[in-house]
Amino acid sequence: MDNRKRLLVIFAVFSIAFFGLSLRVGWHQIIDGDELTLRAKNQQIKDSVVAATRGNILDRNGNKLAISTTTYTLWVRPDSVKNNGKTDEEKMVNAEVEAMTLAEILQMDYEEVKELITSDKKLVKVAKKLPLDVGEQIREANLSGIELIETATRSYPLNAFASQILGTVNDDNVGNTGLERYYNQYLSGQNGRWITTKDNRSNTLSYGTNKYYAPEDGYDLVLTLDQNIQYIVEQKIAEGLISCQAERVMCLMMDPKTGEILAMAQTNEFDPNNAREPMEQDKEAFAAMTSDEKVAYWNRNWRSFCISDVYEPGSTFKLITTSLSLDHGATYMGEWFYCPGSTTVAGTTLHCWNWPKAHGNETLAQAVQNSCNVTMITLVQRLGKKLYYEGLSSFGIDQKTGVDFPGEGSNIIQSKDSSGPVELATMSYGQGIAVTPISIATAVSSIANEGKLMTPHFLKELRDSDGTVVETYEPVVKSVTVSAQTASDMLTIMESVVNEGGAGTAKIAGYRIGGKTGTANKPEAGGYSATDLYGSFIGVAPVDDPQIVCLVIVDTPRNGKYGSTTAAPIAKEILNETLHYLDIQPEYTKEELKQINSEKTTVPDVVGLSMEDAIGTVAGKELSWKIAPDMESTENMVVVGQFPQAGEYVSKNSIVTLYYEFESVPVDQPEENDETIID
Amino acid sequence: MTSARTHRKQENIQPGAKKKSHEADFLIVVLTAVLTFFGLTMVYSASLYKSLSKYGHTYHFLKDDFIWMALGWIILIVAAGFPYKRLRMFCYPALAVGEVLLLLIFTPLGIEINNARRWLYFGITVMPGEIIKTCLILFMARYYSDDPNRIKGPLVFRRKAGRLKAVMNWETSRSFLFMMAVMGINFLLIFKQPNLSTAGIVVLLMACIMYVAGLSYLLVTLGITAAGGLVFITAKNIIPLISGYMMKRLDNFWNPWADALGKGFQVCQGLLALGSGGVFGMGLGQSVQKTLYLPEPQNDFILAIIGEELGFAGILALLIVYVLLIWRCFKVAISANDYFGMLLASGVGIHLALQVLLNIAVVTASFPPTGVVLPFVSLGGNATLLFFGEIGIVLNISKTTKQLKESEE
Repeated sequence: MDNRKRLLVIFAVFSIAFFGLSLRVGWHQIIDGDELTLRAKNQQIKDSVVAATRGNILDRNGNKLAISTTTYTLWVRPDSVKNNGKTDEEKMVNAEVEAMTLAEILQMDYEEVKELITSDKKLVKVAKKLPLDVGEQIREANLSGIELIETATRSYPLNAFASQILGTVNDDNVGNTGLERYYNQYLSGQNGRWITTKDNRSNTLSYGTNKYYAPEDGYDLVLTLDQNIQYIVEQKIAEGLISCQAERVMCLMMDPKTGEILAMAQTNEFDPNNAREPMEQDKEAFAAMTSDEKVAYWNRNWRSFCISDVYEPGSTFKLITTSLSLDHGATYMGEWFYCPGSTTVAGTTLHCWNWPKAHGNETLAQAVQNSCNVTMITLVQRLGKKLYYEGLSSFGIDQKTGVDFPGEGSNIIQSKDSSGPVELATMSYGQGIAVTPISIATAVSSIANEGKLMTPHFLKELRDSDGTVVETYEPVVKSVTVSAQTASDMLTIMESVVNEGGAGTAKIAGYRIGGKTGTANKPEAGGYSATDLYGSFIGVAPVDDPQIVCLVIVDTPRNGKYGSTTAAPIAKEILNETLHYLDIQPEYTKEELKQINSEKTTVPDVVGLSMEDAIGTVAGKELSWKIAPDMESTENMVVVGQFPQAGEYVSKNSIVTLYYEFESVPVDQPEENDETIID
Repeated sequence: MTSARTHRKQENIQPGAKKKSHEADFLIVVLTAVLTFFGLTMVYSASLYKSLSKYGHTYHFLKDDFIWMALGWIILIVAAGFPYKRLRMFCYPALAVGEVLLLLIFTPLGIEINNARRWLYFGITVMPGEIIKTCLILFMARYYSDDPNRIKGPLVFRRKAGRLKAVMNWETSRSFLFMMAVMGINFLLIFKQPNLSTAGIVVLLMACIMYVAGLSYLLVTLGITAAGGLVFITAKNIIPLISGYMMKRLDNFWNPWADALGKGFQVCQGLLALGSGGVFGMGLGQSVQKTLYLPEPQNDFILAIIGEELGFAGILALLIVYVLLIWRCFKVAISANDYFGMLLASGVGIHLALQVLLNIAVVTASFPPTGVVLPFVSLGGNATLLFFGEIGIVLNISKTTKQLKESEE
C-alpha cells in the first residue's frame, strides 16, 4: 500500500524532528550547561553571614560593662500589607488595622507606622533593637508581610555608666567611638559564612551545597577600670556639679605605678544603648535645640574631655617646673626665696597673683603652697630653656601619651624655637600652655612613681570566648622624668600644700594626701573669658605609697571660683571613699587624733592669704567659712581680717568669717600675655 | 450496513483464533508501562517539595497522578478489549460532541484563566481542545475509510492514452472542501480561546492524517506553501492587530532572558534546570529548580526537571522510549488489516509524536510556552486519559493484525 510508504515518510520527518530537538536539549545541557549552571547557582545559593559574637567589655573585677545580646529587627513588605484582602475596602481596613496593631506594640506613632508600611518601597525597616518578647508579640499578632530578623545587638547594662570610655557601635556592630572603636578588631572577631542551597523562598534545602565556616567570636576586653571607683567618681562629680553650679565636672583616676586608668568620667554623658537620646535632665533643652545645636550637643557628650580636649593647667603645672628644678639641682629643699610681688623678664614686668602685695620670704615648699609665680620664674631661669624643654619632653608634655583610646588630643605648647624668656617664664606657672587632662595626670603620676613615666592605658587583658587570657597588657615605662629622690621631695611638697597650703579643702584625716590646685580662665575668642574658668585639683594618695592619682576639673563653676573651693572638695570626697574602698587603713597623726577625739579645733591664721588659700587652710582645720560680705567676684580677694582670731580654740565646723579687700588686676599686664590668669 | 455485517463476521471468527493469537502488541504495553512508572516517579520527585510546602506532605501530586494513571490503565484495558471496528458507529457522534464542547467554552460554562478560555467545568475540569484531537482522529479514520476516494481532492488524475490528464471531480472536490471546512472551523474555535498552539496541533494532526490517507503531493506542496505563507503573514502583520496576548507569547520565546523575571520566567527557570543537569544529571531527587523556582514542575515543564536530575542521558533515554512507541503505533498501522484501523493507528502515532515534540520544543525555548503536557509522564489530566484510550485502541488493532498475518501464513 502507498500508505505504508507515506507512514515511513512521516516517521522519518518525526525522527528528524526528534533528532533536532535532542540537539537543542544537548545544546542547553552541555554547551550552555556551565553558563546556565552558574546562573542557576546565583539564584539557588544562599551565602549568609554567621555573625561572630562581639566580645564583652569587663571591668578589672569581671563586671560586665558591655555585652552582646540578641534582638529583633522588624522589616515589613508594604506590598503584602496593602494587598491583604479581597476588595479594595477590605485591603484598606486591614492595612489600617495592621498599622494600629504595630503602633501599639512598638509604642510608635500610628501615622508614622502607617506611612512606613504602606510606602512604595519593597521592604522597609520599621523598628530595630526590639527585645525578644516584643518580637514574639509581633509574631503572635499574625500580621501580613512581617519579617523579624534576629540581630546581635550591643547592650550596655549600666546605661550611661562609663559611657565615654566604652563608646558606641553602629548598626552593623562596628565600634564607632571609645574603646569599642579602639579595640574593634579584637572585639568584633571574625564573621563566619554559611553557604547553602535554598529554595525560592530562601529556605535552606536539606541537600545541595552546605558549607559552614564557623565564626570566631571576638575577645572579651578586661579593662583596668574599676566599676566601684568609677561609680564613686560618677556620683561625686554629679554632686559636685550641683554644689559648684558648674557647667560640667571631669575626673580622671590613675594608678601611678602602672599607668592603669581606674576611672574616667565627665558629668555630661549619654546612654550608649541609644546614643542620640538625650539624658533625662537634658530632654527639655534638647527638644528646643536646632539641628546644628543637637549635633553639637551629641558631640560634646560623646567626646571624652579627659583625653581629647585641652585646658590650661594653671598652677598645677608648677609641680612640673619645681620637680625639674629640684632634679637638675637648680634649687634644693628648704631653699629660701624672696618674692617682691613682681619681676621683670626681658623688659616685661610679670606679677604674682597678689600684686601689689608680695609673698616676701618663703621656702621652696612655701612658694609652691603660695603658688608663687615669681619663684617659678626664678626656677625656670636657673634651669634654662634647653633643660626645661628637655624636662617637659621627659614628662611627655610635648607629645601624646599614647593612651589606648581613639582621638587623643595634642597638647599646645610654645615651640622651643619660638619661645622667648617671657614665654618660658609664663609657662613655668602654667600660663600660655594647654594640655590634655590625661597628659597632666600622667606627668604627675610619674612623680608618684619614683620618676617613672608610665603609658596610661585602659586595657588590662584580652580573653577569648572561653575565658582564657590571650594577651595581658604589660605596663610600659615610657621615660624617666626625675630621680626617685626628687620624686620623694616633690611628694613632701605636695603633701605640705594640702596640709598647710591652699589645698586644705582636699585634706582627709588619717590619710596622707598630696596635691595642688589650679585655676585658669577659659579661653574664648580673642583672649580669655573674664568670668568663666577651669578650677582643678590634682592629688596623690597616699603620699607614702601612692595608689591613686586623681585629677578633678570643674568647668565654669558659678559657686566658688578657685580650684581649692571647687575641684579640691570633690577630689576629697572621691579620694576618701576610694581609699576606704581600696582598704587602705587611715593612720592618724597625734594632732589629728587629738582633733578627732576633741570636739574642738584651733583657728589658723589666714590674714594676708588669698581668699582661695584662706578657705583651703580653714577647711583643713575642719572649720567652715563665710565670706563677708558675701559676693561673687572674679577679682582677687585678699583676706584682711578674720573672726575668730587665729589660735582660738573653737568647736569643729564653727564658722570662720573672712573679711577681704579686692586686689585689682594690675593694669600693666604684659601685652603679649593679656590673659587674666589668677591664682 | 455492509461494514456492520463484516464486523460481525469477523467477531465470529475470533473465538477460533483466540487460542493462537489474541495477544496485543506486547512492546506497546511494555513501553506504556515504562512511561507510566517513569512518570509516577518523576511526578513524585518533581512535585514533592512543592507539595510539602503547600500541603505539608510530599504525596499530594503523586496521589493525584496515581489516580489518573490507574484510571488511564482501566481505560486502556477497556479500549484494548473493545473491538475497534465497533468504534465506527461512535466516530461521527464523537466529532459532534467534540464540536459542541468547543462551542460550550464560549458559554458561561467556560472558565477564563489568564485571559484565555480553554476549560469547561462540570464538577471536573475538561479541556475541549484536547478532546477534539481524539474525536478528529476517529472522525477522519471513518470518513476516509468509508470511501478512500474522498481524499483525492478537486483534481483527479487519469491516465488516458498514455497521457496523464487532470480532471475536475465534483464528488472529491466536495469532500476535500468539507474536510478543509472542518479543519478551518476547529482551528478558528480553538484559536479564539485563544490557544494558538493547540489550534496549530489540530491543523498539523489533520494534515498528517490526510497525508497518510493519500493526499496528492500537489496538494501537499500547495498546503505546505500556503501554511508557510500564512504563518509568515500573520506573524508579521495580523497577530499584533488582533491579539496582543499571542504577540506577547510570540515575542518572548525567541529570547526568554529578555524578560527572565516576567514573561520568560517559566522558560528561563526550565533552561536553568536543564543546564544544571549536564550530561548525567544531579541524581534522582536532587533537583533544586523544583524547589519553588519552576512554578509547576510536575506539569508542562517536567522534562526540565528530568533533565536536571537525570541529565541529557536521561532525556535521550526517554525520547528513545517515545520514538519506539510512536514507531510501534505506525507498525500497527502498517500491518492493520483494514483501512479504518490503519488510519486510526496512524492518527494515534501522529498525535503522540506531535504532542511530545511540541512539549520538548517549549521546554527548550524553541517554541512559545503553551499548555502541552508530556504524554504519560506529566501529571495526569484529560489529555492523559485520552492517550491511554488511544493506545488501547491501537492495542486492539494490533490484535487483529497478528490474526491476519497468522491466518495468511
